[in-house]
Amino acid sequence: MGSPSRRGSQHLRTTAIAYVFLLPLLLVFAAFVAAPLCYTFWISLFREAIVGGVRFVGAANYLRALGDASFWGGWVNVARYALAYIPILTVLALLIALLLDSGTIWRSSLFQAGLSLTYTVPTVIAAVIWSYLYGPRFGLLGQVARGAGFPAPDLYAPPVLPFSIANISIWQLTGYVMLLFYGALKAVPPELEEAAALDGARGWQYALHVKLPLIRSSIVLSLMFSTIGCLQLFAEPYLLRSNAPERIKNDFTPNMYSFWQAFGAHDYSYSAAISFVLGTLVLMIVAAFLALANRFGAASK
Amino acid sequence: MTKGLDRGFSRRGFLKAGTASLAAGMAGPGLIAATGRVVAQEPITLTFWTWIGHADEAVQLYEAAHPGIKVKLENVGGPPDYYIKLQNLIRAGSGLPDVGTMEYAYMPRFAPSGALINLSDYGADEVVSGYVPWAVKFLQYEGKQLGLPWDAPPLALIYRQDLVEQYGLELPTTWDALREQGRKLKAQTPDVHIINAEMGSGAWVTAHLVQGGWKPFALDGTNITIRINDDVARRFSDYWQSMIDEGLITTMASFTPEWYAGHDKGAYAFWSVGAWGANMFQFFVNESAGKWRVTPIPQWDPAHPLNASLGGAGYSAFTQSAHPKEAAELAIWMSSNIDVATMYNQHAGHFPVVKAVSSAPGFADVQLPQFGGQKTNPIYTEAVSQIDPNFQWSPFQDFVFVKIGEEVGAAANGERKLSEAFALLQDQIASYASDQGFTVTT
Repeated sequence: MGSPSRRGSQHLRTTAIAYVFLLPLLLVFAAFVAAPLCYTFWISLFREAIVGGVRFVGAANYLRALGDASFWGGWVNVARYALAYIPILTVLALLIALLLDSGTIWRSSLFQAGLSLTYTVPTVIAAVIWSYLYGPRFGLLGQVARGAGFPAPDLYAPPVLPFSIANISIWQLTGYVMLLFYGALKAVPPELEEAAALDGARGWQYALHVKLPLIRSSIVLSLMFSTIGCLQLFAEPYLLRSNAPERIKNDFTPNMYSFWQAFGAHDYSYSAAISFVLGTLVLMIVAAFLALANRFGAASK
Repeated sequence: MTKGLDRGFSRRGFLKAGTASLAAGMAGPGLIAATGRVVAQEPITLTFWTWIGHADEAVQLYEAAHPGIKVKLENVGGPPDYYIKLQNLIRAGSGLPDVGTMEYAYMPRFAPSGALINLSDYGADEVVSGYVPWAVKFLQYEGKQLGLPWDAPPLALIYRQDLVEQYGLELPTTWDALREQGRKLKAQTPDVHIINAEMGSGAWVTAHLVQGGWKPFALDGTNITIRINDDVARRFSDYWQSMIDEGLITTMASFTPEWYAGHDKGAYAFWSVGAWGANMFQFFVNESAGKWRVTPIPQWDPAHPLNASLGGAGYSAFTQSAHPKEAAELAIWMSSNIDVATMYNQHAGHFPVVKAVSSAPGFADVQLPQFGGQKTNPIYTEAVSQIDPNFQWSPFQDFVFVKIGEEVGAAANGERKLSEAFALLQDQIASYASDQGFTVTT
């Protein structure tokens, strides 16, 4: 009779101690994640106008978002950007990582350092650099094209634009993702290569059929982060906007549209509602992606 | 011991509260006079936000004249980011500077917020009688002087003397004449355009519409009349559409790497810009140094010459300031000091609002090295007199600028006709105004 209650109080104490250790994290989470989220949700239920001030409108902002062509148009741009960005980034980073890992590269650490240097360039600077290169008449790419006898490409033209923006992100992040893959490849036991060679596998067969499956979890992780990055696309188009405000409008991506509603149209409540819809959709997409990845993982095993 | 501590705190708290209520209750001239001695002993630091070049020189002049006051000059970015910051800090209720730049077009947005000090309470009315009247008016709201103007930037054409000579161009006095010169130029070379029309810039498009007599907004309390797509806009659309269709111009956004290179390397003969254009030379003029000159803006109807202010700014003091009196005085001084206005004119071509400066002997003879020693002040003096003082900005002009830049810019790029852009804008802006609670007449 006495023993279970003692165990119970002991259990209670362990739980309490656990919470004491968790407390700093929980406090930070509450202050910087939970509280702002609650506040955002709270203000999304109101409407603020220059004349008339603030009034409660319930779900009106959410209903408006569901029927807002500007908001959903941004998703199309994000999808086109993602189709350019994710495959190129992932394949390129994988190829370089495999190449560096194969041991055939002279001084591979130099290449690692060199290739990941672009990651240290802030996005603001990267966008400025590329806006110089993209100029049709005085930009490098335009001049090279004309030098070769072609007309200068219009890199802000709507069909090309998602690629022009993706190019900046790819330039910046390939080295970083490559390091992620390279680190995972380094953890592959070297004796597997011997075994594969004994079984008659060529280098590329070993890479494709042995190494890649072993770093699957790193690839999935990278794909997930890339997907989230795409859905939250903001900095690159926002910074390029000054070069072509008529092409990269304020509703170019859902995130830009939310920013514009708050700070351009001064509608903080609608901006909050958009953020909530966006956040919910990102969560759902990531959950679907992970479920899919897990099922594929189970099937391949 | 605990008790003692508690008592100590509460007593100190009580004393603090007492002083505060005393100060609040007696905040009249008497108290200011009584505490003036104390204030003078401790140096005051005022924060001053602006993105405008040469402000450091103005601050030095101010500090030399005011030994007890230090000014912390900060550049927190230009528009629109600057105004986003102001808007957020007003909502937050803290963090604003003591004094900041306020453009004419943005005053109607910030005036109702209660965040701006009425400078009339601190002697502004004594100085404004000597100012360019329209600039003073742009910073008034409901009889209060919520800012004092600093520059009067009417439009003029800045042009490349060397290109004009090389291709035998004449300086146009009408917009039709500019188009003629464009055709003449196009017949000779594909490398030089007559002008780049900054259709992606709402402020540029707006100024050029206003220069044609555009009056899109009339505000009366919470009633607003919006007529964006009027005859002036149609004439503007037809004119620039023909320039686009004939391939005489480009329409890219201003102040991009491509824009800077194009204007330095001789891709454009003319540049239509406010009087602050010379101040931008520092960012792009290399090989074209000394080749630029100024000529008056072309007119639609030479018998009735008009001009418009492209940008234009003043100074506002914020009610959040811990030193409202000193903040207001700093704003007034920055606006009215003759040495400062002269410095801005002689260093960067900014045209002063203070008539004592613009009518001083020698002002008409100032030679700017940026313009090869040309005496440009008389051109701007005349241009300033051609601005309609009754022009009204909308109370959401930042929104209007961005929408105009997007729609007119996209149309100039070939998405649709310019005239169709104005029909769209009329709808978009009228619907935004009614969303914002205004009673809209169209």
